[in-house]
Amino acid sequence: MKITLTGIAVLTLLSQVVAQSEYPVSDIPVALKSRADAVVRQETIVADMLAPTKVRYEVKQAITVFNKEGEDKARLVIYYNKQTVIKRISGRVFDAGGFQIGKFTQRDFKDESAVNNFSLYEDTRVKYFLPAVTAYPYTVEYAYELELKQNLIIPAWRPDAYWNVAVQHSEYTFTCGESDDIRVNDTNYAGEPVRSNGDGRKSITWNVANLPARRYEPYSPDPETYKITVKVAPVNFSYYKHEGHYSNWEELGKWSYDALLADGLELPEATTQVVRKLVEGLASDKEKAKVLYEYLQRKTRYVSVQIGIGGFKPMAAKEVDRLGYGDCKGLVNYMQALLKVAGIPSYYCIVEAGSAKRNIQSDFASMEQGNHIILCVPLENDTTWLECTSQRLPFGYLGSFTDDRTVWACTPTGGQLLRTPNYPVAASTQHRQAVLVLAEDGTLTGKMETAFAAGQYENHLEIAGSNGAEQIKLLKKAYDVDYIDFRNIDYQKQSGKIPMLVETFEVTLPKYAPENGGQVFLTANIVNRQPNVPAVKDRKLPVYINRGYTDEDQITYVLPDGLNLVSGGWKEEIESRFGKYQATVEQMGNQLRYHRKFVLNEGTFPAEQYTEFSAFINRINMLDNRKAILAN
Amino acid sequence: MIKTYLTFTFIVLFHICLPAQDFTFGSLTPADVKLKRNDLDSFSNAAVLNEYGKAFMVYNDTKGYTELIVEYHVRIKIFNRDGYGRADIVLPTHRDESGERMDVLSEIKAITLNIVDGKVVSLPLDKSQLFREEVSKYLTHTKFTFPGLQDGSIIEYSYRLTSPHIFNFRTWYLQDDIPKVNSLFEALIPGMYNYNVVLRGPFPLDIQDAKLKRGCFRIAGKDIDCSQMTYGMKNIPAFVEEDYMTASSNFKSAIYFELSDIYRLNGSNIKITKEWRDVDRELVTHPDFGGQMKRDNVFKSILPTILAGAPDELAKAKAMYRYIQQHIKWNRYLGKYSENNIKQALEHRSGNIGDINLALIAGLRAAGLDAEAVMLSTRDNGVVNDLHPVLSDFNYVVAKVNIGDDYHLLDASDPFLPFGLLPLRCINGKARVINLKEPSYWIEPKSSQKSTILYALTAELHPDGSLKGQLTTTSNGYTALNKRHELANYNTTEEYIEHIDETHTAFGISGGEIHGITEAEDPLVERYDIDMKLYDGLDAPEIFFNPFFINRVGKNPFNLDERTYPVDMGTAREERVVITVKLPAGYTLKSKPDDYNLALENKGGRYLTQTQLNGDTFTFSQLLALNQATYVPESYFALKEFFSRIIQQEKIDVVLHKAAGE
Repeated sequence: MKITLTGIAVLTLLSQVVAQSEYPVSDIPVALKSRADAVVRQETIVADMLAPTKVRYEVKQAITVFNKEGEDKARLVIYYNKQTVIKRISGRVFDAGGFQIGKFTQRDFKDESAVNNFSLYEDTRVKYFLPAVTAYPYTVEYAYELELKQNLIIPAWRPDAYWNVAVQHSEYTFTCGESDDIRVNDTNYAGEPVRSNGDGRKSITWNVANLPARRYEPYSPDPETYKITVKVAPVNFSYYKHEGHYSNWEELGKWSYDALLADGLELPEATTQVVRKLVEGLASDKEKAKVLYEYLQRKTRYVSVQIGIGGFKPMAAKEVDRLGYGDCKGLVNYMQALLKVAGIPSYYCIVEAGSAKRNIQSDFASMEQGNHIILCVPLENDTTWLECTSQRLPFGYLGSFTDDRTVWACTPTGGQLLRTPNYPVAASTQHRQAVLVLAEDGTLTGKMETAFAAGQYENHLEIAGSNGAEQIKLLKKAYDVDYIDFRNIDYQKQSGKIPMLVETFEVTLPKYAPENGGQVFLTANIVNRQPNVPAVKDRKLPVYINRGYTDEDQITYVLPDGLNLVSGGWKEEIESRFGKYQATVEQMGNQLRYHRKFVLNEGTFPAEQYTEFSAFINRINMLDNRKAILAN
Repeated sequence: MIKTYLTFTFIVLFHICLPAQDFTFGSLTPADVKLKRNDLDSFSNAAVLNEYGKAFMVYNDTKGYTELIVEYHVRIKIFNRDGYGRADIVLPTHRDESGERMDVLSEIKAITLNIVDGKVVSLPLDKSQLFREEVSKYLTHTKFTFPGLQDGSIIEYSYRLTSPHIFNFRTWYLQDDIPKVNSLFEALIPGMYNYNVVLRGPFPLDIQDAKLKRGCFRIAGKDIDCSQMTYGMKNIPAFVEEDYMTASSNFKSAIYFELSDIYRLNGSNIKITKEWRDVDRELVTHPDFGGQMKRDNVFKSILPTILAGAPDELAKAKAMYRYIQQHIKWNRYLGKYSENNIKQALEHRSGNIGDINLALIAGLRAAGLDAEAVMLSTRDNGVVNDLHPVLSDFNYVVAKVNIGDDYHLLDASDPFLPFGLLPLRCINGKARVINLKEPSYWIEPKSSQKSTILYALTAELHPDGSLKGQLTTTSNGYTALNKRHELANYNTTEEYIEHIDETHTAFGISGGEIHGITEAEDPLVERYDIDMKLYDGLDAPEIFFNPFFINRVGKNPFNLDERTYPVDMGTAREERVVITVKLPAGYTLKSKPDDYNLALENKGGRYLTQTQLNGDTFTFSQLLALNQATYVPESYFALKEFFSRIIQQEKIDVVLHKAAGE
């Protein structure tokens, strides 16, 4: 009897030893190792909505790390706050052979506040952990469970979100009561999810397998357009003790207005008086709005404090009035309150801000979209947009941070989708003119004037706003020529439908054109040379030019007596679907004239045209660096 | 750098104490109101009008230890919107590891003062806008910002800090990134505490005074006299950070304190920091320092495996170094002490700098080698005080192994470092060698290898302007180290070469190989088959091309109009280019860049170019050498001119002429 027992014990031990090799690297298909810093071996995520105030969110994932870059993906980072409770975290580490070499628990995690560096305060914290393993590859397996005490925002499933990470298998299941109303949105997911019902519960499961690693490609479209995202939004929700229901932007906008905005628009009597006085006698709503916007710019500044209803509720207008600061929500709300006093309606608009143009998803309403707030003033036939966090932007100008995209307006009658203005390629100009005298020692001296308009208005806005030594430093960065010296620097702003910034200065470029063996070498394009773009092989993604523009440069060089162009003048023209480039150099009497015009078109082009695109740009780079050779 | 030291002694003077020298909260002077931007300098967007601090000690009977109390008060004028950032205040408070002893902030007071229609309007800080952020278990930030800011607003705040951390008393930062009109600090130090006091920075104090203050400290029912030190400075210029400089703390004016002795009531004297021999004894017996160095038994069982086949001392040292490099991963924490102890670090394969390099020292000793510890301060931590031991200045430890007449400095925290090369962060002036038996001594670590790179191109030029050939790049020192780090991010050499191909748009790479990726002691050699378009145009009678297409400087790294601090690059460097091109038939060299030979004074640097045509073979060579790791501020313009000349030279083309009839 005893002998048998021992036998069983040995067998059990043996089977455990065998079972310990769980994630051998040799099991990864070759195609997934190519260009991968890490591979998600196995990922199972289950969101189980037990009640609107109780969503169990369970994650189990195993990631194999091939190199240092891959460690970013092996690092487990969990953000939590009052509405997100970490129930358990544990994990194990395996070597290349798949044998366990370590394990860890919640105690091994570092806990820190998660306040963005631009914020004064946010009530979010973060726990993070990275195992210490000296040899690549290794595999780390995590298992953790969160409890969400709300169901307004349920984390989306984004299995292929990371660059340079392959996915062997990932699966997401959402479970809720059979009678619960939910809305589902999947983007770029091929196939149909699996649905199952039973015991009064229903589930939907999505899964992907064997996705090779993708790398970032320059001039490529917003990843949202080709990466997989699955979002689930319950119709009836609970959030920070607020209840509501929505199934479209209109309803969510109505709830947001009522719950978050309606009670914060009141202003103290003194400020109301100030506003009335400011707009007194002004004829149009537009003039009134402009005066009030300038008042806002004088009186307030941007300070980010993210508290209250998950960071969605703006600071009340009377608070901003008293403190003189607020975040984007608070400042937009304050501006709205000022306009309201003057009897001008306006909309609080949620936008996905950033240099890349991203739309609010028109076919799927959900609360987590957007990261910034702007104000829309629907003047008759003249809708005006206001960025309320900047003290420098002119009235009615949004700039590249929020231009040309769909935004979500929250109004008393409900939500609606609107579109911010686009600055056309032809209007977004940078026009430069200079007359420079070439001295015998190769030094250039003269005057340069550059006008920046529409989409290019912001190019030198920061320089214009600075002064003294700081301004010189910024100018040297923008005009990075050896020993460059600026004098009589001046900036003029022209507001209007298309705002324009005009920069003028006198400039000296010592020994810019060196002489060697009787020849003088002059690169005619001094300050606007197009940088190269990488010549990516095997391009996978479409070519995307986010923002087009028109640049024109006209430089006249006054040559010393007897010096002539010996390398010959040139006239180059390139036309392409991506834009148009023209450059000429010619001598006229004692002047050498350089003219360059470059129009870059915006838009999306098929992947196979990337080679053509890089050839176009790199050819321009070559021509921009071309030298004129002068001699007696 | 100019350093001024104050020697602090007990001066017993019988004075009546002056009343508190703090300025009145919220009460502006005409000068405060009048001060305008550009009155102090041409670039600052805010200025400190007045700053006062007072630090004293109180024995806390309940807790049973002495606490430091700091009262701080400052008034700042904000000239314009770019200065608004100065209104965002962060006050850090620390908690020790046990969680029992912590800093406590109290009496925070803050107001904004605006001049409206010639009258001062004050807006107090709203307590609901005072935030406490628990950054981690050991650190809390108390944060606030000022309401109602306008251009020209004056902001003022004060607080009281009670701290159990008395070792460094209170560092008084005289110089900041904005100018200060006045800064005054009073330190009340009880007679039983003796501090070393150091003034750093180029400016002299305007006020420096020592008085006796009777009975200002009470312990165990006894009153103890204090010395009341006053330090003041007026019109302190803003500190401006520049490129190529080490830690700003090396240059900024500040007063530093370090506790050296405590005289107890019973007459005994505890030496906290005094002489190096005391420090040596302390470190050698410290369980997390000397204690770890001595643990050669940890290596007993693995020693034969590690040293297998190592014939001599150098081979043994290298084997042990390699072993530690590969077996303990750096957890990114610095420190001269072992965090976990070396046995655990070896078992868990993870540790801080102390764990790793003390383990290395123990291992070297286990192998029968003469190994010592070298304490140092990293570049961004500032240089160490070399007049007397200030232990807290040191934040790093490396190993020194003595073999014959040579020694090697070793840091095993980076698996790609070759034997004997310290990482650049460790090259920062003096370092102290701690020996288990002998007295400690100073050395000045230098990088043991020059950073060099050689580009050799052998190619053939075709009449259509295309150039085909082989480019071989050989790197050493930090250049090789950086490349190895970069290579480690690619799973295969092919992927790395593809990356090089894509990012170097000037040429295409059709194939290549890399040697020495894992052999950190060897040079890193990259060999690429390249083709490029050297010039544009077909069978033209004259062709122009620029020979400076490899390792082009292009932009001047030195573009300041004035320079105050030394240029510190950490290491000497040398870059060579050799190009050999076979020209198409029938072309002759019409003109070329004149051969160039440019030198910096005192052999500080050299730039050489040479162009030649032998038959149909065109050769071009270039050398750029910066022979010093550090250049004095006076050399700045020579460096700037040096690079300017290089840039001018790089603009000159080679002109080839097609012989008639060809």
